Amino acid sequence: MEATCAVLDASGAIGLAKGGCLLNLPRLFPKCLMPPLAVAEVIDPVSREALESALRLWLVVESARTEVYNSAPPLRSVPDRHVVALALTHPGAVIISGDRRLTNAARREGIPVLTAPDTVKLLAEQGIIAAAKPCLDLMTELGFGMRADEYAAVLKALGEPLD
Amino acid sequence: MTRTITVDLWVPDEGVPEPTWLRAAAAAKEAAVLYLQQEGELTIREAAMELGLNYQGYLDLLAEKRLPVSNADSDPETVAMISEAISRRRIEAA
Repeated sequence: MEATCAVLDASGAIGLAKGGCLLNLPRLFPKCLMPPLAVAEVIDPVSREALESALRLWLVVESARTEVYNSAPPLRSVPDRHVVALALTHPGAVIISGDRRLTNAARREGIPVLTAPDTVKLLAEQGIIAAAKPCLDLMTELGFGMRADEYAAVLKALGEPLD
Repeated sequence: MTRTITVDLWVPDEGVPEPTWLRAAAAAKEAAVLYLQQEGELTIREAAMELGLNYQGYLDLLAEKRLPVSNADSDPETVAMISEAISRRRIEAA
């Protein structure tokens, strides 16, 4: 597992932006990519502002190659298929998304997947952020909910209190 | 592929006004889509399309219903492997 590259789905970008963590992503991954159709879906002001900063600094907008797109799992939504196809284009890529069906389709292609809360966990583990809980709570407060078991698992793994 | 879900309901003898029926049908469709998306049978985008919403509109609906956006099944082994790879790379870069 090289994890040399992160492919951001819109849900991954929005979650990390709302948690105030998006701009730390290059400290985990040397290369971060996002399909243009997914970039266009990030429109809430908080996430858009963070995404615009990322686009100016390090986030690369890239489309999957046509032949890879055509061989990607036949998801009904074109942006969904582009997310998976872009990860297939880059060996060692990890998809950051909270979308259950999309990530299941990616896993079947052998692509590893991180959710936004898992990514926050990695940032905390690596000492890039002081604690995960404030970020996860901020995500939730700004409308990016997560499953209670995922929230608890991240905090438990980091030894952070639940309340 | 499109499948039709039929819901049988009891209604009072005096009947239900048409607008109420239409709202009930829309609510039933919304509930079915939300359920299928949360169960991982529809992606967020597929669910949004079904309800005539854009991506953000569907996230707003999830927030309104207090349902999770981050709903993927975590794979702890994968997360651990990614964590190790990142640690290794950061040590090498230091």
